[in-house]
Amino acid sequence: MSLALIFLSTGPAEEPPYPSLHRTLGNHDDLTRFVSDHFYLGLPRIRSPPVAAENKGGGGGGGAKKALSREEEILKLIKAGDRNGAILKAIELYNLDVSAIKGTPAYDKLVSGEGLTSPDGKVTIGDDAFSSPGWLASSIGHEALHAAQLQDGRWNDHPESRGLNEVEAYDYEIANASQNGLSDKEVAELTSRREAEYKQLPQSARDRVDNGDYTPPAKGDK
Amino acid sequence: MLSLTLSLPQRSFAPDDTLPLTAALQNTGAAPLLVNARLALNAPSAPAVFREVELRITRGGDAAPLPFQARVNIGAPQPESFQLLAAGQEITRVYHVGSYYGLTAGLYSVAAVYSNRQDYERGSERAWQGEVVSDAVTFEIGAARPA
Repeated sequence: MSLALIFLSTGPAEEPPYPSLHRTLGNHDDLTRFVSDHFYLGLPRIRSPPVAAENKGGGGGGGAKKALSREEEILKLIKAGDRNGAILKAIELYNLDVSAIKGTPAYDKLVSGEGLTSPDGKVTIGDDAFSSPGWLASSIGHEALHAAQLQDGRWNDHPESRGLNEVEAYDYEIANASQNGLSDKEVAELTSRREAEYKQLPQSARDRVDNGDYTPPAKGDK
Repeated sequence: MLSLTLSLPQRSFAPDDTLPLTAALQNTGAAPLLVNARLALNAPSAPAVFREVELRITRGGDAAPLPFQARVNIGAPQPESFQLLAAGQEITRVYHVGSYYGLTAGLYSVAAVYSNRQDYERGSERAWQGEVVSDAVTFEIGAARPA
């Protein structure tokens, strides 16, 4: 039996990640719009619609250099092995708000998966984030949201906190999927991860999330 | 049969050290084993599909392990995550423990648990499933120097 079949399929036969929403929402665009409209009031977002990056190499001398798209600019850095450069360029070209992150997000080959936010607010980005420029931007945004949760006091050691923080970060990525230019496959992957985290939460926490409240209980609460 | 061993480059660390912990997963049996070689470290509360390794860190004589404090964005293992380990062969992975836990001055003990619950087949080989626990290693974090 294929691993992908077990864990990565998001086909219609599976239980949907948003049980209460899927009765009326049929596809990723609808889901993205719904999450964007209902779950992201007041949370950090991409600040403005993405724009193609200008090629700054011409010096105004009338050379007709073709402007590289933001994707091309970042891909160029990734292909050159400049992963830290790609991170900085993604932050710039996708207008990511990383103000809550302590220091500068940096590549770390030892990090498993896409990224890691440490309890001190530092962010490190792993190899899996570099599969596409949009995925890189989305993954940085995911960690930036964790840093914001930490800064805002919505991250603690309560057993529900980690899962709530992750569901919120995946909802953030899904809500910004169009702006980041994510593919259907990438959105399906985010939806699958969100579903796995959501299912781990107790019903009371799921109910809060369904109402757009991702706040974890205080550390000492039952 | 698998075994898991932890090692640290030294016993004492400064408060701002990254604390590089090496985990070695070895096939101690006589036949090759197909294993989930990703060895992703994540919280015990994370869905099983998002982790292969969890750490149990205790401080001083405390019985309760410290809470895993980082947030890790990771998906399910992919087919390329699985490797055939020959008899006696091992795979290693380094974790910067200081990135996952807020550790202050004191004496600590750390053990690790490797687990794989993913059913995966490659040819005639089926991935090993189960759990293996390492022995504990101890380390010390010194007091911060006065500014």
